[in-house]
Amino acid sequence: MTNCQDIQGLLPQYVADGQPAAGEYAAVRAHLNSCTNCLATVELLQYVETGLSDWPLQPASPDLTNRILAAIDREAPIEPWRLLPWNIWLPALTLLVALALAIFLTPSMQGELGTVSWIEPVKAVPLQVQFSADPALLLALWIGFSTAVCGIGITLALVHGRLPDEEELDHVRHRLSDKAHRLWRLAGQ
Amino acid sequence: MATVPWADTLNDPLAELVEQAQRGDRVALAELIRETQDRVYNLAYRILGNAQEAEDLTQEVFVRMWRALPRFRGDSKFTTWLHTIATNACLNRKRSLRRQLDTQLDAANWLDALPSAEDGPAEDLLARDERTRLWEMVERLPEKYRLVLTLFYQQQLTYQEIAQVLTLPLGTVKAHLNRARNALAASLEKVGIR
Repeated sequence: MTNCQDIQGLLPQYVADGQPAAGEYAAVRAHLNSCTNCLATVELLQYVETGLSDWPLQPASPDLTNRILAAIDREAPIEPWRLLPWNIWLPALTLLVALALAIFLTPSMQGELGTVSWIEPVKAVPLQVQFSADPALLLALWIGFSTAVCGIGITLALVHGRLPDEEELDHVRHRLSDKAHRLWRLAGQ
Repeated sequence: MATVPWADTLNDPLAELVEQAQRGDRVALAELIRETQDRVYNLAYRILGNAQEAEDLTQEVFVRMWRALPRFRGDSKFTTWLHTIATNACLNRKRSLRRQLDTQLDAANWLDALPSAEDGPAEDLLARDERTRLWEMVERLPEKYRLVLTLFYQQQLTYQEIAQVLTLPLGTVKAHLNRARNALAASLEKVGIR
């Protein structure tokens, strides 16, 4: 017959598992049928189990959320490089790139783009690529390339970005006016 | 609506809020804090035993959570991850406060320090809510038992999640819980509640 000492070690888990009848606890059930001492321990453990299952969470102070958010704000200085939210500056940057391409690849430069040569390094065989100096083709290339760059930027912004909320827009307005004011002062000096 | 790849697999009710907070949504972050702050506060209170310290630590835990949020990839439920941060922070704070707060009982003698039936008039003892007394008894257990009890019963974590939070083997978690249950049963008997 199983003694009380062996059984007592199993009782907390037996009670926590809901006092199942079968499986590994069969010996425990059999012992409890004949041992009032261990049965009294089960009753105590059951009381503990029920009491702890009703253990409520004590609410924290009502203003704790605001204090946490304020602490987070204090921890979050604006990075100097981050002049604008990325979902604004990425499309803006791509548009600037397109604009730069428009300025530097205008038809006035097409005459310099006559023939470009590369030397293939391994075989040392001269390789020549002929460029057409046709202004219409260069213009078409420029339009295609700058449109593609713009498209990639705007697509990225639409897929990953989101519309800035009022707070962000205020932030952007503030920073832009600040930059404009500084530039104005610099220009005045 | 944004999809969260790990939300379904872990059945995490906070997944949507977490994902929005990760994208910088302040409203979602505030809601996430509101949803979970009582859990962190109670865990901190259970370990530190002082309401003001617990609130200060809760604040610190959420700042840490916010810093680490971009790196959270949903390998566990958000609450499990948050409990890991909170438990580590609480235990570190406890260690630094141990000399200042004289509340730590010697683990070997903790049972002797439990209230006995002679601690007050019998009428007072009977008048007290028995459940409340049971919860108060948890405060007098050694830290490792208080910790597993609050994580299991109050915070509703599974054995596996507790093992993950405390970086303990599953068997050790169950052993701690069973010893804590036994200790509470013994103290109930000692004070004559049952």
